[in-house]
Amino acid sequence: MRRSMTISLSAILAIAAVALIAAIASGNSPRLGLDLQGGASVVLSPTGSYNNGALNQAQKIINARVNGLGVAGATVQRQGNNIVVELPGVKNASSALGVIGQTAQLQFRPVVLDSNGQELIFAGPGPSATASATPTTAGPTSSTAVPATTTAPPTTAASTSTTKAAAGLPGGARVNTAAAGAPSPAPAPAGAGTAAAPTSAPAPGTAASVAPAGATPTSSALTPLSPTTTLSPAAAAAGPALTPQSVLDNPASVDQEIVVPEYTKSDITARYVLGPVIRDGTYLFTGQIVSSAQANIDTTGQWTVAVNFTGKGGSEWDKIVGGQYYQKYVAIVLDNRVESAPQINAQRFSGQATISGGGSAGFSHTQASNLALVLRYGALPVKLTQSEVRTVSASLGKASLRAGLVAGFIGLALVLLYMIAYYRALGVVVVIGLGLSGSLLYSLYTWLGTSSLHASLSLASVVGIIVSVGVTADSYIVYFERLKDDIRAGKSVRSSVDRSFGRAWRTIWTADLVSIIAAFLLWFLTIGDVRGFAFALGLSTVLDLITAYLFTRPIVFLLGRNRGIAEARVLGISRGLAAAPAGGAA
Amino acid sequence: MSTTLDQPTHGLARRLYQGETAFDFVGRSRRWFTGSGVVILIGLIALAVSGLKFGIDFKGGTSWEVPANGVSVTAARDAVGAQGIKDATVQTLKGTNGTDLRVEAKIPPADQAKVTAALAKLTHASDNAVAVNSVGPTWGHEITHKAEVALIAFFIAVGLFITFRFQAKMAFAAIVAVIHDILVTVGVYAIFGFDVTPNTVIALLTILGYSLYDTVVVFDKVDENTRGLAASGRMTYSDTVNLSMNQVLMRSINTSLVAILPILSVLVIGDVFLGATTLKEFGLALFVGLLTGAYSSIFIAAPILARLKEREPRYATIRQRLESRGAAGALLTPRAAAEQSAGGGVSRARTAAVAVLDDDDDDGPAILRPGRDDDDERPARAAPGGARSGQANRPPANRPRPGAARPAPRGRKKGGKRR
Repeated sequence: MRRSMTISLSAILAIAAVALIAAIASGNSPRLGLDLQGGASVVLSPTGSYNNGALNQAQKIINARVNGLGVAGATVQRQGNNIVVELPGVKNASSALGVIGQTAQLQFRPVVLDSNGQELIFAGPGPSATASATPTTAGPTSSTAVPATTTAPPTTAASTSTTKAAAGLPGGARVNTAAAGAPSPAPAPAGAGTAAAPTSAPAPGTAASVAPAGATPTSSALTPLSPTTTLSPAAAAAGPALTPQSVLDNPASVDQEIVVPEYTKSDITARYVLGPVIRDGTYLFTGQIVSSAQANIDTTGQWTVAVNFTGKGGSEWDKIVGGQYYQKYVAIVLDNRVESAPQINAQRFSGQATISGGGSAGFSHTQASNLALVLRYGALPVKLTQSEVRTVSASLGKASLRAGLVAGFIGLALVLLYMIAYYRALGVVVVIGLGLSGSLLYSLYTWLGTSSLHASLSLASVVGIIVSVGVTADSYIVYFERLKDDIRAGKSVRSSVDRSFGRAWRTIWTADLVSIIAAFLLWFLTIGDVRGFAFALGLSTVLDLITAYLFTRPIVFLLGRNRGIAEARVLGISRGLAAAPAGGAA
Repeated sequence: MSTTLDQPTHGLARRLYQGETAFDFVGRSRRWFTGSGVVILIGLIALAVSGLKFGIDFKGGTSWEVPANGVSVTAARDAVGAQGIKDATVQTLKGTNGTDLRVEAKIPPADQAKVTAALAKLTHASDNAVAVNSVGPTWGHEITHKAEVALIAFFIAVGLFITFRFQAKMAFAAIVAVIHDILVTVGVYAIFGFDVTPNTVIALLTILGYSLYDTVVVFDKVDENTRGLAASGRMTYSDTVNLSMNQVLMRSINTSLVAILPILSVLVIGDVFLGATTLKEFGLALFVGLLTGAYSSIFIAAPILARLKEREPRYATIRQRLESRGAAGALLTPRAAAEQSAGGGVSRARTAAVAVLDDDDDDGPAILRPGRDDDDERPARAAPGGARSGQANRPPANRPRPGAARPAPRGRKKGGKRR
């Protein structure tokens, strides 16, 4: 008995010490919520019709956008049907939040130039310079630019871009001259790209062609625009304009020419100079022209993507794309990234098109599915609206954290003083026990903050923990009062400690289970801050059960057997339990 | 609160500490119910008259807070007005460093950015210094709806748990007590016109958890005692509940103090350090809620349970039998109960030693303090060490024994030797 008690006590103390040291040594500390460190959060709620798969897809797309922002510790989580994005310590909070939830970003743009390396990138102060606007100034301007982008200024922009589109070579003379020496959108010059990088393998999904549905792809249709190469790191680094950050900070206008990258995962595999979004008057070639898209296997056993246009989209496609871009290349652009840039191999599509992969291998199943998904859903598979936007300045966050900590510590100190005054030596047990729970909680939060759970300490969870001090201390109180009852019944401290614990333990787990049920339901069923609170309460209640059994029981057991401690004059257990009517109560 | 035979020299605190209280919680339940009823009624009237003050989180809208930096309210209103927002309210509040401007307007999250930029420009601050809280018109409903669903699920789960662990009537009484707490807290918010924020909702949910937790601790004791005393037919259910209440009273007081001390600290510090913000919102609701939660588990839940159980034929029979002997309504103090059980359960002799009545007080049953005849019968009142360390002699010195002022209870008990 005594031995097992000693083991249990040493074990829990060792675990707590190791956990705390490991947490501190790891250099991490608990992840702080936005309200404590400053930052921005947005809750995006779906409107209209949606399903779970669409939401998951939306979450993935948003996650990619958020990763592009490069904010350390940013998270994208599903809470019920909502997508909650948190950007701790983000700069330009409100514009960043605006970009994240934007919808209509799927665009069809003509390919003006493609590139296989830095030397082929359109250089100089042209449209590319616009795209590379420095991130620092981008904030306010882009936030105002966002509505402008989507609403499309009806007058000048429309007329100029129509003429550009009619010209088939958007951009100025500079582009034209550049185009002359670079692979023009025709099959033949593609050889130039191959020569530039003969050893490179075709990047997946890059080269593709579009043919009317059912049409057998001709050999020229399969000719890739150019086999793209993976850019060298130097080349990738050379183009600050093309980092995801700047792309998101400065979403290019629909009537601007842009330079955008194509990626496989995070590697840039190609860059394109693209013209303005294809349009017919005010009708923009965006996600709205597509009604559905599926990945299929064609007669030659290759994966293709079958696209169905909407009624209006189909006729516009034939009119503009079939008319002006026949044998040329049209890029499918999502969030300013080229998803695919197929060649147009027909003039009449009649509302249906098939995109087949380039190279000898064509699309893989995954590539075809992903492209179909992009086409089907546009940029986001569901329409999301901002339900809640919250930004907290870092200084306010710090002040809140400080106030929470000060309040917590003062409260805790009062509790501990009261416990010692009331229970004497056993009060000291409470102090050590709360220290134990505290260090376990700190370690767990440190660890959980870096795990996929992204548990963070918000002000609500700090309050949850402060409340749990009451629940935790109550476990001690229940036990000690029980001990008091037994001692009143004439038992010795020595003989009561274990028996009393048995009965107190029933009370403790019963009551704690109520708290845990409450915490779990709140965590599971609610949204927002409540979850952080519930998590903190649940976690500390579980810790309370653990420390009650593994710490309180053995330590009181051992102390109770030690006559010196049990009977000491000032701090003695007997005295603390009013076993001797010595006054000094409350 | 209750009549006892104690002398004035024995303060309440001391009696609590020594386990010598014998308050009649059940017998006076009508008082508690009336008191709570009045508080709830006032709250409901206030609710009907003025309603709750919901913040933008429930109504939808946007608020901005930014260090004023010398900018006047009028200037801020003009700047916001220039963005096409006419109905904005602008006020100043005590902020972290000096004065903050607070602007509130009914615009959805999608439109907040331009005002944020305007305010940042006006106060020569960066965008990031403006704290924005913007809520869509349906979001508040969603939060509230989710909280309601969680609440119902919570009631069902906890009800089932208590039923399974104890019994259905305890579950019912516990949930009534929790609803009592919600009503009181909501009432307090209506009466004083405190702002209702999502944090208030969190606090309210905490209160539910805490109140149930407290009730469960109390019922655990009742459950234990009724398995012994009431089941044996020597005490009525109500008396057993009373004994249990007195036994857990000190624990309830301690726990409530321990829970409220940090909350009080949050409330005071939140106010001192931060002005009227999050911590204060939490603190206020929690403070009210913890008080009523601790109160309801003893004064509402337990009496309801006792009343329900007394209707059961089994306990009604026990009551009848004990009443016919004049032995019902005897209140044991925790100490007396402990002493009884000292030598292996509630022996007849020991029961006799305590069951007395001095019923000249029509306010409720009188309370008996068992004789403190530590010389002969009680084996060892204190822990071995305690008695030896020279303190055994103190009680007589400190305080005359109850027996000295009153005839020794054992000598005059009515039901005493009758068994």
